[in-house]
Amino acid sequence: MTAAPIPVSADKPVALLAALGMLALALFLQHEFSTRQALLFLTGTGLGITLYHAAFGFTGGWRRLIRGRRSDGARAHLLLLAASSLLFFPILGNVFPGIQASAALAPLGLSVLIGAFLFGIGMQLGGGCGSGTLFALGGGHVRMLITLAFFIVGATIGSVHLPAWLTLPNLGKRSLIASFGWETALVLQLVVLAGLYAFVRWLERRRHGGVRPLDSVTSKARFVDRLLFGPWPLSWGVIGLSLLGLATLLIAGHPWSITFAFGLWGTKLWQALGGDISSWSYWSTGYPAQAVNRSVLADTISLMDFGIILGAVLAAALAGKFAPEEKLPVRSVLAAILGGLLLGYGARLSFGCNIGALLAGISTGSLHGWLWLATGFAGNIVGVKLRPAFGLDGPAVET
Amino acid sequence: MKRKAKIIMGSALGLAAILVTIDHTRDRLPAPTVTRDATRNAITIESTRDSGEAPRGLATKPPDAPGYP
Repeated sequence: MTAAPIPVSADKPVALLAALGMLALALFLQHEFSTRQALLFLTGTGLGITLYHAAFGFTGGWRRLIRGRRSDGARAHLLLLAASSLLFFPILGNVFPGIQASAALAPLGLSVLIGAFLFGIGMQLGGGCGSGTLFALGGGHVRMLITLAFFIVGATIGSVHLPAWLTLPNLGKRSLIASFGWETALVLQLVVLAGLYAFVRWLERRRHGGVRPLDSVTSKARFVDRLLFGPWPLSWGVIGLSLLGLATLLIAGHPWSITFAFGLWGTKLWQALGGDISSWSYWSTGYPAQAVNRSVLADTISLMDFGIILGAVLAAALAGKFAPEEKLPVRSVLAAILGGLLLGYGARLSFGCNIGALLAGISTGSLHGWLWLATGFAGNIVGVKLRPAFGLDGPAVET
Repeated sequence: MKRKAKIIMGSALGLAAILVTIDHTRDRLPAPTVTRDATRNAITIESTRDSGEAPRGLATKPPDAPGYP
């Protein structure tokens, strides 16, 4: 079998630079820190490639459901939640005593309720979620630079305010696995996810008379060519993200997370500019205090974020789509700024984004993940209604 | 326009790489704390660097998920 030829459209210099950058950083991490750090970075690159090639964005998928009753994206997200739950619940239920991993447990309270709602609005205004912002940025979308910059600002401000939010009423950490045992909890969860899957599928069928399959992206390319150069169907995205999520849990000892790093970067930048963080209690104890006082490359979340960006650069270059033409009207820039701030602030209040709180929370049995899903989706409905005010959508309903 | 976008993205990624390098280098070069022991007239140099505790992985007590209380 011969090697897949590089398509004429591929951006070879950028692809080469990205590949060399990934290799160099992986070797550096292995030398400076550990094989574990290098593996987590490479897992991040795999996530970036998967997210980009499968165009696995929560923002677009949820907008298609809200505006046009198209459920392909939402169904892919539900399948990802189900597959991740199937993989993670036995591990967290101590079926494999040699493997220990922690769940993404967080208090069920007002901070999650409000934070996820704000995050949902931010998704639609900023044009991306936690993972979406990173892989779109890696794809060379200049607008995402603005969104990410203010995502970082929002997350930093949110980390300063979080201790005050945590004084508001909450029900504490609620684990389905601890309450029901992993088997019962898994069955319960899969039943709810199946019900949601059937519901969104019904919504689409009622509006359109049929449903889009999850492998609707058609291509006549060979499997290997398609794997390298994309595009991938959503179903490949579900498989890839589930397996890479499992790899993250096994290597890092905690589920995949994204936005903690944004607050860390903002706090480090603030310090570097001469700012005083001694009164920022969030960064004075535990893991955050360790993270802020050592190299950013020692933080597993930051490493994986760098990997996602570089992986997406490589995927976009191979697909010949790196740095697409993009107009940036003033209103669109304003939406990116406002969206970024809401994304960052909301993520910190709700203990993560669509990955760190929604996916990681639900797939490790934390009830706060379900609260995040409900209020985050409600925020998306509001965000979709606000988009035309920023010139982001026409009035026509998607078909 | 595509060329302009490439230049902007390249500059942003380059700047990010420089910032990460500065941050990492700052961590690698800690300012030593020099104290003079008056009784023995000896100089003690203590590194302010953290212990470099090995990250936890398989078959060890898992770390708390970063960002969670």
